[in-house]
Amino acid sequence: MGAGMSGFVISESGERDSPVKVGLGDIPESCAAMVLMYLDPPEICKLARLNRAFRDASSADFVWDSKLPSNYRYLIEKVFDQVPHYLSKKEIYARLCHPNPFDGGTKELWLDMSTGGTCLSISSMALSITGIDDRRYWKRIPTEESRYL
Amino acid sequence: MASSSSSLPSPSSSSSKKFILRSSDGKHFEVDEAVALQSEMIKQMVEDGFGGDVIPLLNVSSIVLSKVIDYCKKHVELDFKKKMDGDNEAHEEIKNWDSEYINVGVDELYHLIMAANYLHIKGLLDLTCQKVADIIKGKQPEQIRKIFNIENDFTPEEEQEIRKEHSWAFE
Repeated sequence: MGAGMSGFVISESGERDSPVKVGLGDIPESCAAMVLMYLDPPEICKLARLNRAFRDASSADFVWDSKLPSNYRYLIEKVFDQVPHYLSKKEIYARLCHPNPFDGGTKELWLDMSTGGTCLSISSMALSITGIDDRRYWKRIPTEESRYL
Repeated sequence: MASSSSSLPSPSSSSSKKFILRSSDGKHFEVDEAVALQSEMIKQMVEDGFGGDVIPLLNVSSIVLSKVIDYCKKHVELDFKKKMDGDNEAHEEIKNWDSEYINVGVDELYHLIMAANYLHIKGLLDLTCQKVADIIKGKQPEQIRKIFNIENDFTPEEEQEIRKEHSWAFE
């Protein structure tokens, strides 16, 4: 901890008199990760391009743990056949933020990156509707416009 | 509501234990025990039986240390007030004081983060990291590098690779 910290005094004129030029790009990875926790996922991914410390910090599990919903394990059990232990929290997040079909492709769930909320879409095929089999009342018309074919 | 620290009852009596902190440039700062123990690092040292008169802080210069001590003093005082006056009022005062305190340039911000990290002062580390996040929010990496004087240490190929790896977040 505190490695690479220099003990020099900040001069009145700012960094000009510093023996070594240091700045926020030199904060330890753990601090960079703490900064990232205050940002949303697209912002975190954008900052991975800043420098190596931020790239490594942007993959830290504890950063993504704070972005995943508390029931994310339940969600991945729903959409994957088994909980993939080999995935990092960031990879789990990346997978969950696309529509993931489940229950035989009649439902989809995904995470909304800006609000952090879990979104659910349900096809009419997954609904129990009274008299659904009675052709006099209900008829299923497939359409290209639907995500469920 | 003008409330200077002197108008408040002191959280610790004048007879309370004092600590002397020594900055990297050899200056001494005498502080109350409660103020020094805001630092988890110092607390750990004390618990581990550090018996010296002066606690040397090799990584913190006197300018930064005095600013850090300001933070710790104020928070000891405000914690005390919170206990006396109840949460709501103190919460508002802490928020206002913190936002005024952290209104500093990027150089100072960097030194405060390093000191908070070294001394393990969680509140100050949260405050400084949040401030950096506020400055960064909504800006492009190129702008951020300029503001914080960060060197791009990637080759163009690496940068391209990182873009590709994170494309999912921008679809």
